[in-house]
Amino acid sequence: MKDSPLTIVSSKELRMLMTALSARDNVKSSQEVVLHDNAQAYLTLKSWLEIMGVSGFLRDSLLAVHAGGGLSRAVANDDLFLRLQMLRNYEDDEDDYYTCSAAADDAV
Amino acid sequence: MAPKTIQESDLYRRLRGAKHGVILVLGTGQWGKTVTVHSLIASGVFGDRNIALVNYPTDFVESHAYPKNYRSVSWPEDLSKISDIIHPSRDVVVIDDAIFIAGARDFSTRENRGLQKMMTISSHHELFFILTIQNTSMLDISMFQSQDVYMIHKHMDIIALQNERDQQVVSQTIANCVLTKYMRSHKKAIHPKAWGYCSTTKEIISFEIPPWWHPAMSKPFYGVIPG
Repeated sequence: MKDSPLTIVSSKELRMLMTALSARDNVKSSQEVVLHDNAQAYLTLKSWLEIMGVSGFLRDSLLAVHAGGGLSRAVANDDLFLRLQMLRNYEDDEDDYYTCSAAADDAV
Repeated sequence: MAPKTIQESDLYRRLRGAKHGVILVLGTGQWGKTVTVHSLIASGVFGDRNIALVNYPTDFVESHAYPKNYRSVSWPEDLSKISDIIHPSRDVVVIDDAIFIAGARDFSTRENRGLQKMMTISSHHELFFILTIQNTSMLDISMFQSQDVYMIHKHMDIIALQNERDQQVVSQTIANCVLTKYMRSHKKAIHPKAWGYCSTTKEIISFEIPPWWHPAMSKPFYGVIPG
């Protein structure tokens, strides 16, 4: 998969992927990044659709449903084509966030 | 898993331990950049520093319930006079992008040239600068290269994203995805505009509205031409 324009990673690798992509200031090659909690099933469906001759809108719709729907962003800019598809089944780190509240002594 | 406090974040620890830096709050208008700035300040991350709001209308600051350590300052005509206005080691300087875009000004204007010079000497003055900006293409990114820069991303719409600098497209796209994910999964408990993603520390943060906040404070330049 190294030379493939398609990169499949587990959602658990999301943080590492973010780090890698952020460090890459200039992405010149065409690239599609799919984040999926069941990459094998995603690829199986995609291959099956290709074999069956399903293409275009229908194929894209079925893949979008499989990927959890909706959460995709496509960016076309120069040679960059980046697609991130997020998860339907949230991972354990879903609530791994911080809350920024006012300090107790935030006097007015 | 319960959310952690901002004090437990790398962003907080790094800012708390620093004496100067540039915090860039980036995203489309109306997505809470200004609230995010003041939420971060209210967290206490800058200690007892005073807050200098650049070119905010003075009567606006005085007529709203900002904390006591807030004040409006006018950007100086002569940067050699900057120390008369902004106090080294004791201020956090807040700059709203409205001072760049209002009046059809662009980054070649006096304000932005002055800003770049100010960034260059900010480390010597031990100052924190917080800028809100809709798109980094509005600024000369080289002005940040010698500084400790912290990027906090709010949601950016697709039009703005397509006009974003190449260097920022990937990180903002990731930010949009992460923000969308958290907006969806916490939509019943947390306002969608509260979320911010720090691409410097790879952290997602829910910025709560400061207790003294009033909605009008989101639009300090409403009805006026900044300058």
